[in-house]
Amino acid sequence: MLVLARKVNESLMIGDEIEVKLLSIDGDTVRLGIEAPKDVLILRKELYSQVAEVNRSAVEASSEDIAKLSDML
Amino acid sequence: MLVANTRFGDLEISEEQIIYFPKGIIGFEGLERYVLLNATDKVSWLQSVDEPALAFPVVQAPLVYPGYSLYVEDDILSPLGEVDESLMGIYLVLVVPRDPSAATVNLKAPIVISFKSRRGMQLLVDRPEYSMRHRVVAAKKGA
Repeated sequence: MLVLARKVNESLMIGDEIEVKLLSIDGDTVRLGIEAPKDVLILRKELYSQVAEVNRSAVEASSEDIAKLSDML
Repeated sequence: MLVANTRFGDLEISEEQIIYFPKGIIGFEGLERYVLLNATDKVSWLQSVDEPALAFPVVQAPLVYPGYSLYVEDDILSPLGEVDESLMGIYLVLVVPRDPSAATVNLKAPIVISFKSRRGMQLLVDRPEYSMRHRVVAAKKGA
């Protein structure tokens, strides 16, 4: 992993289209500003982990239970 | 073409049925080819073509959440290639527990399929009003 030290209001570039700027620091929370092309989706990483967990739990469904559920919809 | 399939036995599928997910599906990285199979008249399975054990139920968003919206810039849908709204499906991943009446859908991570380009992707829609475990069967009063 590349590690860079940045001060408030300093930025870094990822490729030539994505800029990440350190806006402020408050205790253990830093605020980042990100400029990126519209087709780049930027999300908190926890969301990915949670979605992966939900997706994996969906695989456990049985055909019988799905049939029962379908009748309730 | 033949798909070995643990859940449904061996299944003949044609090339035209295959939906290509160029970015895969979150949690199932590296698997890019899926088919949509009817589980019931309302629920479908999204079955991996390359991993027989991988199939999970999905349901069309409007059926369980009327007025569901993706809230995304069109550019985000660019991996789908050519999109024709009348040939687009928005599906939600369905989690069906032992008690099927407690089933939930993940409103934050819809699966969007363009049947025109036969491509799909799982989007992330981080809206506070969208639950990752939205109950699909309304709680019965006094039952």
